Amino acid sequence: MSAVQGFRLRLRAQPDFRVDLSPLQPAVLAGLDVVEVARLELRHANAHVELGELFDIDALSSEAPELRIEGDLRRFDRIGQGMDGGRLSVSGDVGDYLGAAMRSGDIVVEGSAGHLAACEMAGGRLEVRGDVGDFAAGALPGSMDGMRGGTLVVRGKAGARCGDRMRRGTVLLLGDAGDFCASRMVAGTIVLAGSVGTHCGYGMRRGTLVFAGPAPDVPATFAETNHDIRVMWALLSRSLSKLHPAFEGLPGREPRRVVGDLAADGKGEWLIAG
Amino acid sequence: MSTIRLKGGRVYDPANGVDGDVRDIGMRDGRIVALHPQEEVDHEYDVSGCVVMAGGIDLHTHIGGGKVNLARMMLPEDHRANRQRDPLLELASNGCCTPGTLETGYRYAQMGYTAAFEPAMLAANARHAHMEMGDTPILDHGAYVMLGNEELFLEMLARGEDFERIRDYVGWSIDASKAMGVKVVNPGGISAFKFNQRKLDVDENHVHWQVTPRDVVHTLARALTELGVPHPLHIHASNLGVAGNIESTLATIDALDGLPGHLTHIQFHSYGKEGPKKFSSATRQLIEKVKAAPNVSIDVGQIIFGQTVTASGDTMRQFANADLGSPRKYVGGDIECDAGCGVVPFRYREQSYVNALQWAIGLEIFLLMDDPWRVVLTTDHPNGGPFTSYPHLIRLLMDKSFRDEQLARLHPDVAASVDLREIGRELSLYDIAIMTRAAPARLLGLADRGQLGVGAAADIAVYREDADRQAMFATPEYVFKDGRLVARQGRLEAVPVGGTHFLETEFDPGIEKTIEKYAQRHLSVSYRNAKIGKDELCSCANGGALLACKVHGRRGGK
Repeated sequence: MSAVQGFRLRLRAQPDFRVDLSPLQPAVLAGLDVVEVARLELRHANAHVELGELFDIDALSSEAPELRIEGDLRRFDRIGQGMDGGRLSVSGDVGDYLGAAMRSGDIVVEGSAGHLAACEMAGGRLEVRGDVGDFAAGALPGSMDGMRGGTLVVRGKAGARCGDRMRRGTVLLLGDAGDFCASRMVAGTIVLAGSVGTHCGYGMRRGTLVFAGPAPDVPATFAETNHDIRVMWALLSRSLSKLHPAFEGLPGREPRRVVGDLAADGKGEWLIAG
Repeated sequence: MSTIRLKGGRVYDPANGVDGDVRDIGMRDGRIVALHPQEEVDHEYDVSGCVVMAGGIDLHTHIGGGKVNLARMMLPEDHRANRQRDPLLELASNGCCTPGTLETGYRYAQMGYTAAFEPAMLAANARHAHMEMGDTPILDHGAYVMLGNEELFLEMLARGEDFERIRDYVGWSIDASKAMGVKVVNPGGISAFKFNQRKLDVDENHVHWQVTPRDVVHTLARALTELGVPHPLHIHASNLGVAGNIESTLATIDALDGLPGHLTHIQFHSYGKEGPKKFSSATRQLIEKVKAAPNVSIDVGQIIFGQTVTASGDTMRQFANADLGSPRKYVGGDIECDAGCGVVPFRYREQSYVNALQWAIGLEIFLLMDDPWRVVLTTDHPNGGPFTSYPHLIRLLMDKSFRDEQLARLHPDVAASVDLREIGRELSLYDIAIMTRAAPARLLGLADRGQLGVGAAADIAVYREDADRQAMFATPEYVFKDGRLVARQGRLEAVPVGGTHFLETEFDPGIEKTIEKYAQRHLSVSYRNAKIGKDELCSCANGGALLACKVHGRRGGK
C-alpha cells in the first residue's frame, strides 16, 4: 500500500490559548503516518502542544496531498501559511493569517476568516465561504508588498483595508468591502460584487478595481478618462465571467473608467460596470 | 549572601597574566574572592574540562537609540521567525540583525557576554538611548556621545575659541548625556553633507566652517586626554567604505599626533584602489602604521555573510550607499543640527567581489596585528553582521582549516589572490580572552571588569572545552553576572537588570552660558532639559546600578 497522502483532523476541544497551525502543510504531511502527525508540535501561546492532544486524526484515502480539518478553528491562526501545494479544507471558522504567503495549492474555508487572510499570498487559490477580517490580501505589518499572485475568493464581506499594498493576483469579493478597500494598491485586480466603504482606493498607484455591483462614489482624486477600452474590457470581463456565476453578465455591460489616486501616481483604474 | 566556587576550570585571565592554569574561582556578594580550598560554600560547580573567562565585553555594538528603532521598522521580516524560547523567563522578543531590547540582552547573556556599549548616542537623543539600554536585560551598558559635527562645536572651532572652552564643552556634553566616552563620526563630514559636500578628506575644508577633519579629531582627542577620559577618542574615520580610503585612515592616525585614539570598525577603512576592480586590501599598510603607533587601538567590524542592516550616524556615506540597500530601503536624517543618521538594510554576499574582500580584510587585521591588547573583536553589530555571529567569528580566527573552507566559497578572484590564504596563524584562547574581555575593559577604563582577579565583579563565562570553537562559544556551560547564575547551557536562569557605566567629568560650569545661548537661538529643546540627572538616569536605566567611572585626573597634562 502506498504511503498515506491525506488526513482528516477533528477538533476535540477548544485550546486554552491561540494555536499556530502553520506546520500543517498538506504537502509536508503527505507520507507521514497518523502517529507521526499526532506528534507534530504546535505553538500554543508561549509554549507547545502536540497536534494529537487537540485533534482526532484519521488517514484519508486520497490520491493527492490533502488535509480536512473539522471544527470551530477561530483560535487557530496561520492555517495554510506558506502552503506550497496540496488541498486544505476547513469546515468552520478560522483565525488570523489564513493562507498568508501561500505559494500554491488550494484552500477552502466553509466559515469565516480573521484578519490578514491571504496577506502576501503569492499563488494558488484560496476561497472563504464566509467573511474575512481586515487586511485581506494585504501586507504583513511593515512589509512593502501585499498579495502578489494567485486568486482569493470571498463569498461574504471583507473588513477594512482589503487589498492594501496588493501588487499582483486577483481578488473576487462577492459581499461588501469595508473602508480603505484597495488602499496603497500597486497592481493586481480586485472585482467587487457588493458595495465599498469610505476612502476606497486611497493612495492607489496602479491596479484595477472592477465594480460589478452598486456604483461607488468617485472621490475627488480620481478623474474620468475617455479612453477606448472596449478590447481590454472584452477580454477582462470574459475571463472574469468564467470565474464565478456572479460575474456572468459582465461582458454585456459597458463600463465607465476613472483613474487615480491622483495624489499618488494616479495610474490605478476603476472600471464601473454600467 | 551566597558563596560560590567554580572548581577545577582552566582559567584564562589575561589582565592578570593567567594563561590556562587550572584553578578555582570563588565568588561572594557579586565579587570575586579568594576562597580557602576547605572553605564551605553554598554552591560548588565542578567545571573541570571547562574554560573559565571573565564575561565578554562588546565595546562597539548598536543596541540603543533612534537608528536601532528605525532599523527594526525597516526589517519587519527579521522579527517574524519565532525562535524557540524558554517560556518561564523569556518574554516575547525577536530579531537577529535588528533584535528587540529583550532579545539583545538574552542572546548576549546566553553567549557569555555581560556588558555592551552603544557607540553612537546623540546628545539630543541620549535619554532614548539610555532607556533602550535600560530595557536591555542582564547586560551592563554605557554609551559614547557623538561629537564633532554639531554646529556649536564647529562654530567654536572655526572662530578660534580658546581650547579650554572647547574642552569644557566636551566635558559638559559627556556629563549632560551621561556618556562613557566620545565618538566622532566622519569628523566634520556629517555637517559638511548639509552644506552639499558629498565627500570630505582629512585635510579638506568644510565649505562653511573652514575647518578640517584633522582639526576636529585633534581637538577632541586633546580634550579627552586633558579631561582624563579613560576611553580614547572613538573614531569612525572619514570616507567609510570608499576604495582607497586607507589614505584618510593613515592621515587620521597622524592627526592624533600621538594622543590616544580608538579607530573603530577599521575594516571599513582599510581599502586600497589597486587591481582590476580598483578595490583592494590595504591591511599591510594599516597594520604597519598601527604597530608603529602605540597610542592607537582598533576594533575590527568584521563582516559576516548574510542579511543585516547598516545603521550609522554617517549621513554622508549612508546617502551614497542608499542605492545598494537590500531590501531597497533607506532612511537618512539630521537631528537637531547635532549629528546625522542613515540606515540602509544590506546583504553581504560571498559571491560579491567587494564583500568577499571585506571579509578577508577583517580577518587579516585580526591575524596580522601582533598586539591583541589593541584589537577588539567586533562586527560593529549590526553593520558588519549581528553579534550572534561572534562564535562563528571566533572559530574563523582559531581554526585555519575552517577559515580555508569558508575562503573557498568566496568570489573566485578574491579566493585566489588574498593574503589571507598565506596566513597560518590561529589565535589562542588567551588571545580571544584579550580581544573579547581584557582589552575592551582596559580601553574603557573598567578596572574591575574583564578580569578575574580578587575584588573584580563576578561576571564570568564558563565554556565547555570543544574542538569546534563555534559550538563552544555559542553555548557556555554557565554564565554569571555579578555573582548570579544567569544562563546555563544556553538557557536563562535569571534576568537581572544591568547597570549603567558613565563618566563623571570635571569642567568649568561657565560653559553652560554659551550652551544655553546657543540652545535658545537654535534648538527646539530647552537647554535645561538637555542634562540628564542621576535620578533620571536611574529611572531611564530601569532602576539598574549606576556605575560611575572616575576620570583619570590627568587634567593639564600627564
